[in-house]
Amino acid sequence: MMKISRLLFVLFFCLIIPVADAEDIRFDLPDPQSFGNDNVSYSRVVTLCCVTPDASEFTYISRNVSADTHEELIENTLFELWNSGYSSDYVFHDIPVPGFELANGTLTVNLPCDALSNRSERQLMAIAASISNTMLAFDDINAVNVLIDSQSLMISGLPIGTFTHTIDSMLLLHADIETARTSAMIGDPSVRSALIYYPAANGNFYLPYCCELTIDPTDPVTPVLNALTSVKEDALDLIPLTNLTESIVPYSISVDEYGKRFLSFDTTTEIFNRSADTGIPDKVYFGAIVLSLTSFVPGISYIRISDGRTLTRNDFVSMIGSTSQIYSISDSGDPVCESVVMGRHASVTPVGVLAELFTRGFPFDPDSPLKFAQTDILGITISDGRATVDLSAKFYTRCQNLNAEEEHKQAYCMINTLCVLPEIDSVRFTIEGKEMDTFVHNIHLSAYLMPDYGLTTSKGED
Amino acid sequence: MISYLLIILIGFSAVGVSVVQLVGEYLLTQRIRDDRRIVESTAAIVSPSVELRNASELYTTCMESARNYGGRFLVLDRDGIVQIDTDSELTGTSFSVPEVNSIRDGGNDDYGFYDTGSNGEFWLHAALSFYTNVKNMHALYTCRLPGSTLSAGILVYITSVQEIYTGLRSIQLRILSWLLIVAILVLIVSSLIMRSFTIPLGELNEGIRKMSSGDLSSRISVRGKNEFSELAIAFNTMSERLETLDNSRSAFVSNASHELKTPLSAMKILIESLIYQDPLDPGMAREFLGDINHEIDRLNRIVSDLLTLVNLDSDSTKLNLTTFSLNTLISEQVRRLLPLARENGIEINFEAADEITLSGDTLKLQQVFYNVIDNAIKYTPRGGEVNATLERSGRNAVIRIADTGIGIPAADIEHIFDRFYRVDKARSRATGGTGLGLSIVKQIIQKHGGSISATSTEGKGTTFEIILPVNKS
Repeated sequence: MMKISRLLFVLFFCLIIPVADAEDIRFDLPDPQSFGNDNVSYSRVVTLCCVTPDASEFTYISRNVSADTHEELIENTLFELWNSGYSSDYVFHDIPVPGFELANGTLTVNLPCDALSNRSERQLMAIAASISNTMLAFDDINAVNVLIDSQSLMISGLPIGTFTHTIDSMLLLHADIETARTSAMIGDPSVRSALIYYPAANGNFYLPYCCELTIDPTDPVTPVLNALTSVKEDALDLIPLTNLTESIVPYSISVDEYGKRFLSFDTTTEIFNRSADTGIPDKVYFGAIVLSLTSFVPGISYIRISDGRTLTRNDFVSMIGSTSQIYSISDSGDPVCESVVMGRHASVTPVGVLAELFTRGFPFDPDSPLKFAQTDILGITISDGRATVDLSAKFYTRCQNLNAEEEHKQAYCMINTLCVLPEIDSVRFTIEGKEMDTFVHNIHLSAYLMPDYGLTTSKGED
Repeated sequence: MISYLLIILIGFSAVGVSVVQLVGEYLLTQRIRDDRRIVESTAAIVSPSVELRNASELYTTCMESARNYGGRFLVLDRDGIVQIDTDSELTGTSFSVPEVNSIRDGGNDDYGFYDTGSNGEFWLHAALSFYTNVKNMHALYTCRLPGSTLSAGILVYITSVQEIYTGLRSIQLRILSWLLIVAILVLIVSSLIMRSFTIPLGELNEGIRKMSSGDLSSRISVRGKNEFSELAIAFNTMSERLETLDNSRSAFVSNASHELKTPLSAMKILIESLIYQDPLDPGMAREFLGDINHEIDRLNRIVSDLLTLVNLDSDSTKLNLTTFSLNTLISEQVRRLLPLARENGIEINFEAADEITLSGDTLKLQQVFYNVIDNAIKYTPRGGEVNATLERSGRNAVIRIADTGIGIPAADIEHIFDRFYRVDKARSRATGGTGLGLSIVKQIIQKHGGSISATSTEGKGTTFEIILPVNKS
């Protein structure tokens, strides 16, 4: 069966390529051979932060984790954490492996509601710290938000917020808990990190952005809404919800007939007008509010707006996106680095970012400086940080007339784009599964090449 | 002049090249030492990033070092492929230079000098190739990076050393400029100096040329007081002497011809008279034959005197030296001529104030005193006196022979020692003189290291003074 499908693939390739690229220069390629597949294989040694059975300290163990995708690597790491040594005996043994969202350098781990059963605040905090300490070791994760049943963890009714740095010892964690409790009791404001979900500039996704918020124990909502009204100057991909607080205040927190707490806004038609003024669809407008509030304000199951609609976090999770750096070539032939908002799954996979790069210059124009447009990715294999990318002959054929400088740009746009991913530090290329010694000129395709950060400057810097 | 110029050019070139080489070697050595330190320190800094394969940090570190040190860093993997290039030109390409290949083959850290082109080409150069027109000279250093887990294995540091080469070329050009200025100055000065040499030499050459063509009257001008003026004076002196000698020779030949021709003409006339006399008168024939015989004797004397002079002129003529009493020699000659003096009615005396012994050729000195006293007798009229005196004066013997004869005109007194010179030619020939006597006398006296001079008052007499050096003993 495999042989037949391989034969069909080769036959398809031989028939399609000459027709599709009749304008390309032909050259003698070695016989195509099967190489790799559309999957990516990761292999990485991760350090798991476990909790001792008496929850008195953290212990660290190493595990070799393999996965086909980067998200699977995260998932497998959590799985290893759940099933390793001390953790399984005491802390995690009755909790199913959680779901998670990896987006824009932030990881949101959503524990099932079973995690709440018979656990004290201190135990839940130990679990959250264990997860964050483990996951913050990943290069591409700089903030970890732990939820239980899509609701924020709390200490004395106040959100614990997002973890942005590791907690080295249990004593330090306990001290933090006590400090939070005291603040809650005496009503002092405290500072917490929170994930604020802004609509992305392209309007299709929400991008989480980690902010420091000063929380009043009596009103954790308003700081979140205030944060949504503005973005930092360097966050060019984010759209703030301007004048939001004027429109939605006041709000109230209630409990429904099922015992679930919800937050209701007394919205008027004005808010819809305002959302129309900003050019943001109302669903996106409210989605940003729902995601931001439910990810931070504890105990909120959903949000109800004045027209009777109830909006939950899960309604918008699929629209959480992520940014990735794509190195491309402008129409004038200069390399450019673009910050591209993508689906959060695509942004963390080599195939996803490379496919995003290959959408540039669509449809292919022989006079365009973009020679990799619509190139087929035949396979990517990653081992020990080294990626081997197998491309179709289409790309190699198109590059036959390039000079050395243009060749350099083509190759390094791909290498730099791939090396943005934390799991890749160098890239080599094969064409139709065959190793090519050098590119048309001097670039050694068969060597593992590190990114060239001098290739370009990002558009943001321009 | 060209030789001088060449020597100066070669000398300056040698000095110039040596100076440039020394300065260049010093500057490059300093630079190499500093740059090697940079490479080693940078290698130590980037090594952790290399070990961790952190391309971003590796690039940042290299860029920072490049900015700090003003050079270019390349990080190569073990296969010589450029992984990091702070200029982003060579990334992904194979960087194959001897220094890199050396490390790849297990050699040590190394460096080399390269001229780089606009397209990033590297042309290997010798360290001090100042004479080639290098445009963008760079020093390239290689350093092995520690660790074996990563593909990156060699750090390359490329830094411009063009300013050193430019500086050296500037020095080179300055030396060349000075060389040209000095060469021009040397050319001008040496031309002037050479003119001071060539002008007198040219004049001398011209004088010699004229002289060789027979013009002995040619003289050269004497300028200043140096070797050339001395040479000119010597040349002029030589010319004068040669001219005098030539004149004397001409006169001598003329005189000798005349003196030889006179008896021959007389003999021809006598013989023709005898031939055409018919019948031959025996008495007359005897008389004529007697005259012919007399002319033959005279001719014989002339020839003998000429031979004597020729012998005396010759440097090879050696005196037969003996020690003798000058008093005795002179008194003997006086005695020999005493009969002639009596015959002519002339009183002859000899007085010696000192007894003098000297070393000399007695035969030749006898001839001297004989000739001088004989001359005095011949040109002293009857009743006159010839007085010879001898005295010592210092280391010399002074002999004075004074007569009371007819005297010699002042115009002739300086020529009386010339060959064939006669004051009164008719009288001299009649007295049987050959005109060579006093010349022979002078030659003999000079051969003995002495001198002879004459003072005369016309109508009162003549005094010859002969000075001969006396033996030291």
